Amino acid sequence: MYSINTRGSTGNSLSAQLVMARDALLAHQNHMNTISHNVANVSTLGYHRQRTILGARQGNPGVNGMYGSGVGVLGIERSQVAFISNQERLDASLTGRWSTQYDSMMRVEEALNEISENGIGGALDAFWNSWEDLANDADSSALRTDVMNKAEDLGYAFASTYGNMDSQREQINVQMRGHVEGVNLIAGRIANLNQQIVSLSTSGQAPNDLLDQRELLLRDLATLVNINVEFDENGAANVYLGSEEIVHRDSNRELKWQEADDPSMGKGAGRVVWTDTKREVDISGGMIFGLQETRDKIGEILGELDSLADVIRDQVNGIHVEGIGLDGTTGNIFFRDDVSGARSLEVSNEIRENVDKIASSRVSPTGANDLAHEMFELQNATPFGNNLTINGKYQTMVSNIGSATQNAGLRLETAQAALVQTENLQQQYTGVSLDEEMSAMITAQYAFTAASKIFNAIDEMMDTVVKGLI
Amino acid sequence: MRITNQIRRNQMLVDLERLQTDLYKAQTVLSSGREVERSSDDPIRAQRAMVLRSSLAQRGQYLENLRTGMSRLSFAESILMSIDDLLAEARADAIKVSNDPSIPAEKEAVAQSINGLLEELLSNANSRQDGAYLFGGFNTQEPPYVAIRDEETGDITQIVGNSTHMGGKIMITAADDLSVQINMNGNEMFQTGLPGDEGDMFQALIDMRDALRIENNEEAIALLENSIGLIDNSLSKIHTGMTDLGGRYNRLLSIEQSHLDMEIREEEDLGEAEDGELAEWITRFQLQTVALQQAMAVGTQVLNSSIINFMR
Repeated sequence: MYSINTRGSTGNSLSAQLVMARDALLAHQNHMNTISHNVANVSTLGYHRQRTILGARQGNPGVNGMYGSGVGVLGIERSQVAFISNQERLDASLTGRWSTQYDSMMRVEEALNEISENGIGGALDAFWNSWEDLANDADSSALRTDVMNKAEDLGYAFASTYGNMDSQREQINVQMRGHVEGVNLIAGRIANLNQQIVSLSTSGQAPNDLLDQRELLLRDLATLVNINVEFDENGAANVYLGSEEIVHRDSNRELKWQEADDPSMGKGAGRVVWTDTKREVDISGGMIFGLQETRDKIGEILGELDSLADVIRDQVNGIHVEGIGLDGTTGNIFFRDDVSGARSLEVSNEIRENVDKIASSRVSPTGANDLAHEMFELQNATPFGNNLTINGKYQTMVSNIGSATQNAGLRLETAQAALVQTENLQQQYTGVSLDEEMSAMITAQYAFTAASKIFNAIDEMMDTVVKGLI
Repeated sequence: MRITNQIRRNQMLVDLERLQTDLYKAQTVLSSGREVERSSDDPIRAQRAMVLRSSLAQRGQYLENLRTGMSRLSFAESILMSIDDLLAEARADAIKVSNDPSIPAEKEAVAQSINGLLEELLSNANSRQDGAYLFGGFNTQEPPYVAIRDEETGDITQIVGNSTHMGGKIMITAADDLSVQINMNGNEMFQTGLPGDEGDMFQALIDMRDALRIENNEEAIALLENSIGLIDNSLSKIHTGMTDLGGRYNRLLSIEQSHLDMEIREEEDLGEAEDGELAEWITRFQLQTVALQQAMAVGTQVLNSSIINFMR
């Protein structure tokens, strides 16, 4: 890899020895330069330790055998282990995926506001109980108002939980969009660095610090999306996202956030597509993937909330239309039935205007409480089959979200631990050790001093020769 | 192994972060008392806590229902007790007169007193609790009994029951799948409203009062004795009613007791599901504090040792 610089002395002569001493001074100065560079970058992120490679020069044949011709700088080497860098990118992808998932699932869990009493669960219990309070005093208008208030609290709990999760999902879309910009930016810089690295390499220079920069960028890119990197013979890094190339030598392809008109993905939803082919990008790792997974999960949860609210609306209305209000009217609905979903579980207008339209019985406007009991018993009904009550369905939902969050947390912990381990391994091979550099420095320092002493000695010898001639 | 400065620093940071996370957890458990703050802390225990909380809310409602039921039953029972008293008083008066019906003024005085008791019975039969008539079944907003009065004297000549929903049974939910009736219907107690009713309490008193106003003593005594028989029927109905109400009251009382027992057990379970074992966490907290201090001491010492310290 390195070729010996043949510029130097050509024999056993004082001038040749002077050149040898001069080159030794230069070589150790060079070594000192590398040591200072290493020491200066002891804390630099992504820095790979460099080494000045010294080599003994080819000797010259003389009368009495081979005459040595001193030391030369073979090159400045950047330490690197390809498989560790590759592993680091894989670990970064995993950490990216699970960290975004864990963070956003935590927000989703907070949106539920369980297991405290203030969430949907508590509102459900209070709503069922309010019917029994009415049953205990079936002619009371005040308790009818209470039933209405509890129903409105329940509707509010549904709407605000839905709203919080929905805005969490919107937030995820904003983040994904930002990360797509990030991918384009990084891919552009990698292409640019490829160009510089290839041109330096072909002119015989070692682009060590540019390689460090490119490796850091590759790692940042891997944190965002799943990538594969292949290096060509000129040192360019070709990056694959899924099966398609995103960086090819000095050029890169761009990704685009394609707005999707799909309400199931929330506000500001979009898909990640290739700008040139308009095809969807096959993403299976990194932060963007983690966000995409959470967005889908939130979509599922919101769907469940909607169907839960619809079941409550239908079941309550189904019983209530058959009752007689305190005012003697019949056929009133309890919840509005011209709307649907978790965001609009609202008490019907007729009841909002006159709570005496709330029925407690199917047989008598006053006194009887059979219907109020039926409403209370709704909490034990199993409209979902599988022995699943309305409360049970909700509890299962909360529990599933908890499990998903816990799982994301555990996966994140594992990924982080793996990343730290790989980083340490990387450090072990390519990191700067100050102790090591200091001991190298002492050697270099002495070598420099010794070479300069030789310089002096040859100077004196030449002096002797020159003066002796006079 | 080649240990660089960054490895030493990274390792120290990772260790400190882990220890601080553990310490933070111990600190929050100790300050809140709760080990499971959110579902993801432990989904299984969290779900159990949710189920228990919901069950406790339901049980609280059952207890509320039982209190309502017991208050209605004991109120109805106290009314039956005063009816029992007034019927017994009417019976005693009637018997006294039937033994010696010779003084017309005394007869009239007793008739007046019986009339008073009749009015009192009517008022008792139309008793209200929290604005709702007790003995009218579902018809809680109209008086169950209406008196038809003599236009001149104002005396009650007949009492007519309001038959709308008179037989309505008002129930409370005492426990899962367990309902108990908490009202007593007037048609079971005061009059059936059917022809040939031998247990019509109002009619018994009306007959008794009217018998005392008959001048012919023998005829009066015969009618009086007949009405005493009707009062006896009524008294036995009242006693049965009181036993019935008392029985239901006791039943609710024992259901309440079992709810209270279950409530304590569920609260213990809820504590087990989400609370931390305090002694265990205090020990853990102390160990973690020591571990953190140790890690800091070791870490700074390791980071400080370098060959540089020994160079001239």
